[in-house]
Amino acid sequence: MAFCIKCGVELSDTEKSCPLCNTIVWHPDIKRAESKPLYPPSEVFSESPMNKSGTLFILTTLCTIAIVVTLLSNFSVNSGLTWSHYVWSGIAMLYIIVVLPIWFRRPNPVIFVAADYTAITLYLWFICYLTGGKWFLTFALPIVGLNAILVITMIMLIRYLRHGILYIIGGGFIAGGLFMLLTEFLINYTFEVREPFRLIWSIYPFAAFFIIGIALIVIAANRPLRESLRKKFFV
Amino acid sequence: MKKTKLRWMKLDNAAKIYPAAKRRNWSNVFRLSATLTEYVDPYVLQNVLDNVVKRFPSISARIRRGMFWYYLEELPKAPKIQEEACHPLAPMPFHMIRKCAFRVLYYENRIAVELFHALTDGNGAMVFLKTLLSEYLKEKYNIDVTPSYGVLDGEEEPREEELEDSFLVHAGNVKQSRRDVSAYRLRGTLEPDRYINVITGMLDVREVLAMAKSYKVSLTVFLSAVLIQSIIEMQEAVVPDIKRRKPVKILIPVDLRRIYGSESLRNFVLYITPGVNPKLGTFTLEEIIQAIHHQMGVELTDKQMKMKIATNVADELNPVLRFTPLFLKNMAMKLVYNAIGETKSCLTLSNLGAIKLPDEMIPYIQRMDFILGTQATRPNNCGVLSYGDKMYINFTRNIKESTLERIFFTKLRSMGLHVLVESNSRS
Ligand SMILES: [Zn+2]
Repeated sequence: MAFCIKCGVELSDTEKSCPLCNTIVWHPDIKRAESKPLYPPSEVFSESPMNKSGTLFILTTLCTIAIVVTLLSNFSVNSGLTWSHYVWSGIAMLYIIVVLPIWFRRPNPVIFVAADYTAITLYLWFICYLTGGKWFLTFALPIVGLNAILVITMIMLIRYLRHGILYIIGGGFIAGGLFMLLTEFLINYTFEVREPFRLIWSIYPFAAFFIIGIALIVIAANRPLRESLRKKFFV
Repeated sequence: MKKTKLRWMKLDNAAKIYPAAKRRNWSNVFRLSATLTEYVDPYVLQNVLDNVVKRFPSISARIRRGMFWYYLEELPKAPKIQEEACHPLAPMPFHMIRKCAFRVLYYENRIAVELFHALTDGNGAMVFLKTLLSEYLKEKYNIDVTPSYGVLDGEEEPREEELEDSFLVHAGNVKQSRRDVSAYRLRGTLEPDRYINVITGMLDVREVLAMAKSYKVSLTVFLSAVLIQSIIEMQEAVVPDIKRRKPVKILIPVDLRRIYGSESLRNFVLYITPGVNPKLGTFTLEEIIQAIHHQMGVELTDKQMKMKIATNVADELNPVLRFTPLFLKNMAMKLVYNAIGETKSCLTLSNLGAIKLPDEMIPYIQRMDFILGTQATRPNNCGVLSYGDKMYINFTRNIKESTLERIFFTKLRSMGLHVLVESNSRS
């Protein structure tokens, strides 16, 4: 007969420590009777925890088959690899975007979003290279790269800061507006539409995004305003 | 041997939610067990079970899919008994339930039955276990047992009234709104391998009864109040802002058989969710006890219960719902279950009360236990019964932390009640 010194409950002979508070039962004068556990001691469990390997296996096999079939048919018809490059690289990109997050038990969005952008960038570079285009370095890379930085920064801020979501979204809007300007600039520059600095259409989305962004930041900074807005627009 | 046609029956009104609410690795199961004075003889047990199942066509059954509803189908023969190999209430995934919705287990001195809740409730299952025990003792020790105290004659044919869905018989005419506020959600670190931790507290039933009497309430009300007070304390530690604290309510099943004189062996319980709202300030135990006592008094009047049953039965009788294909019905019921099924209470406290056995059986049976499976999204549950002069409070949880149990039992301890604790904790 033993008692837990913390909880005061009597402990059955099966208990080596108190199941309520984990205090170990020990007393120099008390020799405890050995007793069979209440339930079989086996810790193993009949059913394995959630298993994604089946899905992964099927998806991976399907992608591999698709790529192999494409390459073979391209090779046998054209006796060389021509159009199949577009197909297999496309499949590879989709694989990274769709299937890669399944590999992880709890995918970290920062990591797989970065992986997605890398895949898209590589894919665009490959297409550019195949078609002999000159738009990768001056257009595709900066657009995708900046977009990636913007999105990943937002995700990280929202994920790790947990506060000031209005500030983050407001900042995101302003950055998005600036991104519009940059897009038009790069289009003008790369495809020689007009003078690079003559921005025509992007000013409008920029203005809208910028105003929304500033408004959100003002709302975030001004508590009475936030309260009165909440009163008017509650759902 | 003549081959009789296998019975089939519609799921009773309360059972309909369980197959729909199941998840890939969770279904609603519970367990009753009896500890004998000697080792269980598996050979005798299997023999006896083979016969007893014929007496219980609605329990020795499996769940099958129809076009519009699930239904119960009697099993052609008893399942094989199994030696317990792990914690109680190992998962019963649906592919097993479709073959056999219950299992009979033995371990050392103990015989246990674990059932999918769609078959029956705790009281129905208790009749099954008692009858199984009586047949076992008759066979093994050559004793005579008078069928009484819920022990049925195993040789008899099943009676129609045992198979009836009593909800349909006792529904009122007026429906009630189901609106109810959500309760505080207990949380913890899930056991990664879905291990189920059981902590049993054994108390002297006369001591607890005297304590409940001193507050002039029933045992269930007293235990519920202590449990609610424990959860309030846990919430206070996690949610310091009193305005953000949520109501603390527990779900208490009420056996309707005694109230309506039903002999059904299917589900026939109603659930009530008494509780208190900690936003209103601190509650003394006395206040909680009074609150629960009066809420139960209001809920458990005949008219109120008829209305509740009518509400539940109405959906089943709705012609549009009836002719909706099962898979759509399942999706809808699952949504409803996820939205409200478990959110209205912190946990279940099910008290089967004092278990009586015929005198001839008592010397052979040391102890009995009632263990509830955990719910899909709420980590704790609690099953209570008393047998002889002991009360067995079985807490189950699928999380690591035993905070609730610790607070609950130390509270009982500090009231001067003697508590003996046993567990299957892995330390
Ligand atoms: Zn302790």
